[in-house]
Amino acid sequence: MAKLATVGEVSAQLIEKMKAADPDPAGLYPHIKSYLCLKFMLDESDAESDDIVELAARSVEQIAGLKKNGLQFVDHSGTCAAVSSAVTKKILLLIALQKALNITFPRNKTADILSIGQLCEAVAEQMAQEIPA
Amino acid sequence: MAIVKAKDIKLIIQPVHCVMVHEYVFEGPCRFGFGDELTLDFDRMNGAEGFKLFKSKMAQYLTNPDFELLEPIECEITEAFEISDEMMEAVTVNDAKADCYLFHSTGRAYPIMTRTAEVTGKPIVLCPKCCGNTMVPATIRARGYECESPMRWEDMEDILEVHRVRKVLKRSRALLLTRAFTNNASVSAPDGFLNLDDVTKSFGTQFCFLDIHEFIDQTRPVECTDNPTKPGIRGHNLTADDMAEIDAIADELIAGAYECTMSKEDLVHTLRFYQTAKKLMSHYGCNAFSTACPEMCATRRLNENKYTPCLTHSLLNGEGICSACEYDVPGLLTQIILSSFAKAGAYIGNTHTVLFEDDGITTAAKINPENGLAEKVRSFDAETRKNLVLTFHASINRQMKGYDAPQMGYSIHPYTGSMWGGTFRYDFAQDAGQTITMARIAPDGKSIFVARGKIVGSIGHDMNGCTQGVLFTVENSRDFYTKQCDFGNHVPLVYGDVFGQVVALGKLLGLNVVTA
Repeated sequence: MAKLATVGEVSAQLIEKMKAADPDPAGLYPHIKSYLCLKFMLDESDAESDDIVELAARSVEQIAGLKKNGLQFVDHSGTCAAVSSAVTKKILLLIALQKALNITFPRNKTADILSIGQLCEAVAEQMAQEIPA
Repeated sequence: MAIVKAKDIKLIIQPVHCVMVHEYVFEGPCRFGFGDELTLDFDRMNGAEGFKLFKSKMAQYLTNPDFELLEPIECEITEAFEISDEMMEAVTVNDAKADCYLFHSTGRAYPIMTRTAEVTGKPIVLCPKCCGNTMVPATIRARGYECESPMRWEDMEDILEVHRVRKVLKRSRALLLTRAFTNNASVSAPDGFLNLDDVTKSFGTQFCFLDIHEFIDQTRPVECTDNPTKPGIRGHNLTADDMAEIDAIADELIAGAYECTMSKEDLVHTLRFYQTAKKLMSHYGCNAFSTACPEMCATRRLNENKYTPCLTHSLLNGEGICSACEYDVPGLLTQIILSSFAKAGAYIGNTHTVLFEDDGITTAAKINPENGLAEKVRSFDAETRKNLVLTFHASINRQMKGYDAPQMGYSIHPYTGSMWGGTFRYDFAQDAGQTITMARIAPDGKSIFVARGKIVGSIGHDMNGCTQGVLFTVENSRDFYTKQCDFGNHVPLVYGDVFGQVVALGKLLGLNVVTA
């Protein structure tokens, strides 16, 4: 419980940093990457990749005690929507950011957000639109 | 009007991605998850991931240039499972162009697929996925519509190609040169279709009939109103430009041949038949051709004009316009099928099982005209002689190894003893070991015969007449012969193994498929 509380506090702090940061992708990048690692329960030193689904898969593998790249052999969709665990985590991350930052990603763009860099661009774009001039 | 060649006919595919979304947060026996996983936002984002995956799979697995993919359409259905007219209008917006619908889905979107089949009557093709891939075809097929459900993306192109070739048959219109039959069947091809109206109903292929005499009249470069069969009526006679083009074609053919044992003047005569066939096919909107050979021969007008149709068949088949000897319409349709799958010109000829008895006597000795066949058969080893079949006619084409492949080497020999009637000649022995696929539709149009063979030799490539042929082995020549007796003489063939595709097409067309 204490750990969850800490995660909640740290994620709230990171959201505040995002809001306070320059609304450009470079300024947002370190905060969004830290936020992603927090949500995915990854140590930032293990998150060398910029690929969100790859990091999500790594997260599931660590939590489930699987070998690296082992998820592809055991993962199966729990629903009729045929969604993988890693993609589920990616979508939940986007929804969490939408809620916390009061932004909405365009529906037809979310599948094209593949990397942390692209996520930062999408967030910056939406924050710029949401903030009144 | 340009001739729309069978080889250029594409299958137009409408991709549709269906997403099932839930407007309300709830769990139950068909839905479960945690927190935001149960939101509308999640379903839509997940649908977007599915759409992206769909597009990437199409880019990876649907690369056949004979397929045209329309802009993919997205469609959303909610947990109310309602299908509105507006939804169907959106899904079928390109229906006038589309030949089939390729469905990919995220969640239970089955009702859209079934409704699309009902509204359009067009085939529904499913992307490999989950239990819907057996449920949906059963649902749709039970209602009298077509639904394909490949197990793997790797199988998708083969299935769609079968539908494309069916479309080619539907888009084919054959120009048939005919003459009143003395009996109730053509002498050229008495094993032809019993009823061409039934063929149009079953295969979609159309036919355009032209009297042989009207055709021959128009092969003459005279005033277009000066045709005895239609005095005063404007015909499509060869013009000075046509004659110049024929002259250039003759030069090109002679220059490209290993040898030409006939005069250019007589080759030009032969090509007048070819040029007129193309002009009239263009005029009548046709893209396939056949002519009643013996009926035409018996008029003596071919002799008078020094025409044989062989080279016309050869050139047309090489260009991607199927052309069958002897008014053989089942053979013509089979050529369209084979050449569409092989993407190569088909070869049609008399197909005859060559028996070799223990006493050394072979049926080859009884085949006319004499072409050294008996000696050739005796020269083969016992294993080769056991299942030997011959297909012969002087109508080989230069693109039998592919429309896009380099032209095959050829010689030009006359058909007749008087040295007129140009024909191509090819030594099939250089292709020994290569696989060929054969097929023929039965006279009642209800069955198709399909077989494979391996080339073992050649005959008549250095002779005149109808001696040109290819010798090949089949799995069991007696079985082949017995089954062929239900189908007829000509069994067209193509290079390559398209056996499985022809069998699949036969099933799609609802034919009884007989294999050997």
